[in-house]
Amino acid sequence: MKPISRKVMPFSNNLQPTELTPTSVVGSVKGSVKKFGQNYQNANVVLYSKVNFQPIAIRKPKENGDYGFLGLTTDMKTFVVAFDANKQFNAVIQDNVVPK
Amino acid sequence: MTDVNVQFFSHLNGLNLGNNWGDLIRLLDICLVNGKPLPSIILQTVDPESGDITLEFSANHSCMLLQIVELNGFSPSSVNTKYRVKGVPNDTTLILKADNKDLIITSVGTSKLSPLGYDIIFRDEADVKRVYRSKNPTAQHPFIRVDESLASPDGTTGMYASTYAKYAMVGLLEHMEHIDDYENPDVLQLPFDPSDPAKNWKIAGTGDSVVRGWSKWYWCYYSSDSYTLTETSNHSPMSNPRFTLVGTKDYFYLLNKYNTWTHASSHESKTLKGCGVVDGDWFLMSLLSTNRANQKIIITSTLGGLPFGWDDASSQKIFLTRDLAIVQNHVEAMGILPDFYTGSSNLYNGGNIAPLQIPIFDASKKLRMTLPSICYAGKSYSYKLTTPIISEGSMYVWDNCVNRSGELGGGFYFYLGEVE
Repeated sequence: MKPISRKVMPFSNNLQPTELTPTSVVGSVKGSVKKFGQNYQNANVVLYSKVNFQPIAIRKPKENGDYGFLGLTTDMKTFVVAFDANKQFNAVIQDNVVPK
Repeated sequence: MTDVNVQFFSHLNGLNLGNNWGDLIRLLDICLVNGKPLPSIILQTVDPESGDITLEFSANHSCMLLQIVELNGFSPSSVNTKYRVKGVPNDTTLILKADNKDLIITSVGTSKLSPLGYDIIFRDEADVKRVYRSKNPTAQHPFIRVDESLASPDGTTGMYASTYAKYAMVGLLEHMEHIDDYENPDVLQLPFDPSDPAKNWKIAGTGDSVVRGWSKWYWCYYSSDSYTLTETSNHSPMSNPRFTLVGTKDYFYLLNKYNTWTHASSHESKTLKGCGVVDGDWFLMSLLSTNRANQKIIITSTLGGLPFGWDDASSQKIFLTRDLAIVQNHVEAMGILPDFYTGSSNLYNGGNIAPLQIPIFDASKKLRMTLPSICYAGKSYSYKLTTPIISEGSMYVWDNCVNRSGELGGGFYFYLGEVE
């Protein structure tokens, strides 16, 4: 027989949890990191709240530079900052990002 | 792809499980078989960026975030499938998570809260009994018999007063030819006593010493506390029944408030019931008792009364078959849990939520299965009722329950899958 599991089921490591209200609309922020127009994965991408300027979550992009922050709501006001892990370039910001 | 397999229903959908005989069967008909039809659709739009479908209804839809809605009768036919609700902006609008940005809906159909996926195999003329079975069943899928009869088949030797506590006799059978086909000693049942195959379905005696069935799913009675009940005592039944029903075509759980007792902190006194098939094995969660109606039952010490909620040797139990291939009596089983304070001890409250699977072992110390969907909650969600939770990409629904902490209350998470 295969092992009987007692897994920890998946949950968010976000630094600020998403609180759902009855009228919340679930959304996500997705994008991609590029260097000189080419997909770039050596970055740390931080999603910040524009309400309290605190980080909500930190992600590394996939190999193709894509990143995603799931389990948000469409009424959240955020901005995204990408830091170059190779420390060759200054951070870039995308302001006024609304989860969809 | 969004998971659209595990569905949940709640009293918040406008569904009733109250002081009426027939309420449990009617609720199971909706949740397991037919679904809950939604009002007529007056407008539908497709978001050109995301493909999400927004529906506006002619009346209150009473749906909740993360429930599964099914569309039927639309054109093109590709629209006719299941969706997760990703937004409930108001009472008459739903946003369904979809992904075809180029979709053009040419003809509008109907919608409903999607049922878990069962058929009614048998029903009786008096409409007090049902046998359900998963759609497209394998040989391992049980026949689920739910019996709300109040009298023995002969109509006289067994009579249970309609004013007494409301519960159904519930059990699983491996095969049935008709709705009352439960006396064959060669057919496996759960629960099962091979010396008395009809034990779970008999009503014997009259007046307040009647004995009605064995495996009991209570849904309405009066009690002066959250831990005891006497079937004859239903003089002030509750009018505000609260529940969550969660599952798939293979299994389901019912967490319901069954009595009128309410602690000052709105402690919900819900207990867990359920049944299904997991990797070819059956399980049943139910209170087992052949009590007389006038005998007081202490739920916290009665077999199966409080699965996972109490460290009593009897009440924490659930029930499994020993072996689906051999007709013999059932075996008692227990969950492997960090403690009996799910949702209140906050053992693992360092994270956003703390869902832990519940493995099961039986009385012969055999590891048997891990229950699907239901999770021990290492972090409390307080006294909230049916509450959808999104935790990054993972979907859950929480509901509270009785547990060892007594007045503080506790609860379970039910994992619904991934949002994409």
